[in-house]
Amino acid sequence: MIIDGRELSKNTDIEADICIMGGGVAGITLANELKDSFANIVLIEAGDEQYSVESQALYAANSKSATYPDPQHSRLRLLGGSSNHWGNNTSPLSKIDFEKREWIPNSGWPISLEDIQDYYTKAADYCGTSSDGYQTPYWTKRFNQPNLTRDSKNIEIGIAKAANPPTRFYASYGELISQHKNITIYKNTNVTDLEFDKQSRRVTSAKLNTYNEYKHTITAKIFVMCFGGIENARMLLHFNNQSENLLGNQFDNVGRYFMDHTTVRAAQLFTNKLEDFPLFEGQYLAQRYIKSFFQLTERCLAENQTTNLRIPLVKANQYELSDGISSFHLMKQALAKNSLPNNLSTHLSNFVMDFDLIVEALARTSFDSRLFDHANDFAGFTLPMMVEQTPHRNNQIKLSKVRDKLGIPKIDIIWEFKQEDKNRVWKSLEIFAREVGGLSIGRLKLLKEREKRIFGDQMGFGSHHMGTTRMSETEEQGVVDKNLQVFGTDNMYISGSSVFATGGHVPPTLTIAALSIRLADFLKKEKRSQQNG
Amino acid sequence: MDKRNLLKLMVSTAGIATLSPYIKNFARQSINEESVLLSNDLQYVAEHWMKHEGSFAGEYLAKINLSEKLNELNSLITNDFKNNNTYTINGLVLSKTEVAIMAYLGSTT
Repeated sequence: MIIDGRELSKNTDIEADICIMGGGVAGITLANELKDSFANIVLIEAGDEQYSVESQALYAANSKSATYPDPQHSRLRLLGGSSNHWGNNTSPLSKIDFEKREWIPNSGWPISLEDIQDYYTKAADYCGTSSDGYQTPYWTKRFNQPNLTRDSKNIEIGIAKAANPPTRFYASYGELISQHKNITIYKNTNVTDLEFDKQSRRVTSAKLNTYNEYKHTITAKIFVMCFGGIENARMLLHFNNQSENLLGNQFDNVGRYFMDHTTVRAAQLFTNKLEDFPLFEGQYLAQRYIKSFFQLTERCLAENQTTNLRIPLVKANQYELSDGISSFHLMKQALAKNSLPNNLSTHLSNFVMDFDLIVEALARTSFDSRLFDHANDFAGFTLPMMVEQTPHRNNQIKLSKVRDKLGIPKIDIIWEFKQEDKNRVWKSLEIFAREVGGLSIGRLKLLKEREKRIFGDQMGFGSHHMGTTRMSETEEQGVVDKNLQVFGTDNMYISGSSVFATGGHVPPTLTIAALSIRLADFLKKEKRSQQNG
Repeated sequence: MDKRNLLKLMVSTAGIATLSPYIKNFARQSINEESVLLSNDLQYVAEHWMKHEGSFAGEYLAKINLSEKLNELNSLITNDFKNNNTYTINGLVLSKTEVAIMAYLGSTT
């Protein structure tokens, strides 16, 4: 059943066995997994079944770091959450991602890949990418792709899969869960606060706002926060304002260790072996899209104490890879400030050599016309690589003093891609450059001289909000334990990418779904255990 | 070693053929047109080499006995990469052997 919260009668009291707060990937997966085991599951969703301006506006931040994307646009506040605009790109995390790595501060999950491996198969079914796995040998053989990295100990091929068209979680599973006898979805219903009983360490009820003057409550035996990677932290900080930080925040960890995946074009690959890259270009297979990428091996990461990169190849033409155009812009910017750029002779040389492409650029931008056919000739590959970010304690989501129309504090986002992370990107790329040369795959060009722009205005984002309610062994180090239970509570859990201790170098949604399935298994086991005495 | 033959060999090997158009086109132009721009560009590589090695590239090529190993050029280059024997020129990560050849081609001696 689905109920519009705006149509509830005044001051309604709702009762549930489990209250799932948030109807995105984590919440919908969890509800579906629990539906045959709990008689009364309520899923609370702040948005509607379609986008609404009123709901989305509540995602506005008070402030954010200059380079960081606006969180009002990078996520969606409606049933299905951000799966309504994702690219559906999925890959599992690697074994090393879960381990404590001495060279990555604050790394290490309290669980291993083995603890989650089995859930990935089912999670892939949820994501629409099927249960045939992400094993490179299988997929390279399936598409007759040569094993380009067979002789390397340092780099390997990874596999990404996406459903085509992308899986929108509410469109795909909304009917399944809303028509189930054990599930009630309340849409247009905002959770605005929690009641926490210190003695029993239990959350007893939640206050609800339905965009009108009515105030409703829900009481439940178990509460699960599935608000999203930023919103889980925001709401938990807000709840803690009146709960004396007893909800997982005794050590000021909520909102900290905020991570995202940056996407940077820090290198270019030149090769004449186009016939070797069919899977890198992406292949369609039965409503799925399979694409490979380069990455460093776990052995290489450990030996070189560096970070991993997800390196896809994107074909680029002469125009797109022109050094001359880049040099032209750098010289123009410098001259505007009455100065000259570093390496002037190189830039002048680039300018002369690519003069035709600079004219092409001027023609395209000034006259919307194209001059030279050869500008579209294949030149090489650009590498929009996804980068793992270190969980820095001071990258964080904080509550501001400014409140939204529901009275909940808006957030301040403090986020920076620190120099140590940039240094590791270059270190990994230098290794990659030697490997592609040694394997006769091609030659890599590192764009170090453009670092300021690559990690500045040209930096892209996965908008994968992670780490703000991190999973850890102890309350001193995190917010939830290995079973996703909030420290200091007996009946409150969190699911979503906010529990990631580290983010890896691949998109998070597959892992979000896997963790929700794992949480569902845990809650079902707990219930059975209680029933058995 | 005859520079023109060496250049032709470089262009035809798998290693050099994967280079950016930046150098590949220079090489092709040089074969056909004796391009001044090629000369300038390879001169830059030669200067880079001299600055870092303190000796002429031809001496290095003689030391590794390249003239006797021209048919092993590919493996010389891949071994350079495997042994971290690389040069970075304008961002391009290249093997020491191929940089030495380019420097040799760009040298005036």
